[in-house]
Amino acid sequence: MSYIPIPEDRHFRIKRIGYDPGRSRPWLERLVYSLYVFAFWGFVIATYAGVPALFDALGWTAGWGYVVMRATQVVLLFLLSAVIALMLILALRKYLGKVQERYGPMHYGPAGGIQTVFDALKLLGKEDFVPAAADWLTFRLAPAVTFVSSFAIFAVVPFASGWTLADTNVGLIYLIAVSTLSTYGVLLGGVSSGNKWALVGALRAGAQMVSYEIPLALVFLSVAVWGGSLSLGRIVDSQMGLWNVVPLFIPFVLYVISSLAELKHIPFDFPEAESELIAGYNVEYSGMSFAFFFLAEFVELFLLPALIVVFFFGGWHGPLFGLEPGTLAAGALQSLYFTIKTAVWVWIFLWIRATLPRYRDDQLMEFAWKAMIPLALFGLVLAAYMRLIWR
Amino acid sequence: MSLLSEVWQAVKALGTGMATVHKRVYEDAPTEFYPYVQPDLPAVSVQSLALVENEDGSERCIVCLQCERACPAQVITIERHRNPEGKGFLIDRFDIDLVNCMYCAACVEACPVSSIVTIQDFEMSTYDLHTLKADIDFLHEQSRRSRRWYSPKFGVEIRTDDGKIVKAPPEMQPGGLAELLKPAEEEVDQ
Repeated sequence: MSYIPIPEDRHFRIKRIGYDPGRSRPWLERLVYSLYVFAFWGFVIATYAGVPALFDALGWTAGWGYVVMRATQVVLLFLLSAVIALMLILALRKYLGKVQERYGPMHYGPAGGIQTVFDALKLLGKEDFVPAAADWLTFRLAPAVTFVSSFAIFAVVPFASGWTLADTNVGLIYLIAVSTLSTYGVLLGGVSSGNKWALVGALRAGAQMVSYEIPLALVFLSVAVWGGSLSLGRIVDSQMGLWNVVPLFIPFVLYVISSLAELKHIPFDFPEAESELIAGYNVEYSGMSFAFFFLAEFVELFLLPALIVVFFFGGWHGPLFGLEPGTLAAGALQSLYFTIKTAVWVWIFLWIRATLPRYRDDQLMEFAWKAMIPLALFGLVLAAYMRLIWR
Repeated sequence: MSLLSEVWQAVKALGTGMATVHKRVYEDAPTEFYPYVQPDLPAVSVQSLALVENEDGSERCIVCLQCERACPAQVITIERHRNPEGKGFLIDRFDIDLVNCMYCAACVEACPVSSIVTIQDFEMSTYDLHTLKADIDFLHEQSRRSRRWYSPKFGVEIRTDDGKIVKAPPEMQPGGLAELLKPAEEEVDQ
């Protein structure tokens, strides 16, 4: 059934802009969505292979040249984290839409492909507002602390063999120290807001994240005991024959649960429980301050699955098809394996987020202290025992 | 032992839930792209009113005032005078206040010649409510714009591409008319 068009002078006419399923172009949609992945891969290759090769060619490998090289890499990693956040927010919204039988973003770009870019532009344009009841310095500092503590994990994550900013021999201890810092950002942000919802959210976040740091640290220790090193590169190398997920199954399960709690993701999303606390600790933030909380959350959504892959799923290991390890092509392929494994784990995290309801607050602490910490200790002792008899 | 069985049951419940959620990924969303794709409303859905003219452009309405009398909201205003050249009446004024109309279609049921009909045009939103105080030109235009309309007396009528008004086939009629006619034909065949 079709109508003759409504006369202009008589009626309000609907403006037909945006997504038109009659004119959908699937190849363009696939191109836009894969551009994010290629941008990600390009940033990784540029950061870990391009910049050192460039500075080698220039001869700036010592003194201040080295510092400038590292600084360039950090800037590229910041852009990489922005790409990750844009990509993961879009993936989350599209996946949740798919699961809930609706389309996610559809109107900006092909199939909503550049929706998050517009969201970021909107946040840039918003007023950055400090409430009168807030403590100015702490309020301003909290998003920075949160973002930096998430971003600093990048320093030790190996994307391929040798592709890491700092392959230190205390990588795991650094991880424990840095990931604990993000609790401070959330706590400071909530307490300094001068808002009761933010305060409750921050207190919940403090209790939850401090509790779940302990099993997380114990899992790190189990991995270190079994791998025989505190360096992440050496841990990945030690999984050449057998991935750690088989011998360290209990620590693996505990790591998944406690990293969900660290992420403040859905079974453990008390700090920002929408139905109870509006937005929790970041309720008073707007503009780029809020964007940094958001950025930190989604960078962690990439980094914690990446650490699962590093600790339990063999990191960058995969068939190299005769490529010489250490070359650019081999590094690119290894980083691709690492990215694919991480993407699978990010998808599983989103899947958990789409499925589960929120836990109850008292049960959450009970679970952490009565179940996870004893189990983590048991896993640690088991790992040490197996290390003693098998290696 | 009971602890282990509880844990197993929890894991099983989680697995069931996640499998159920994952099945949804393969199902199509029931979302309608309304502004881009017109929804195919059933012919009997009352969205607006129209006044149908005959194929030759003459008035189908006989100005019997039945609709004005039947209207519970009293939004129909008709003025008429006697036809000086023959039988019947001629229309001076035929107004329907579509703002206060409650779209009960009592006028459509009362109409003896199926002149006033229901149509499926729901895109009536406007910034100026006076555009919805419909006069006879507006109602004629609505009937000319629509290709399909409904009245209880004639059922669904359609306007073909060459301007003729014909009764729709039984498949397009409401109330399962096609299904009602089917067994009768089969019995005749047997």
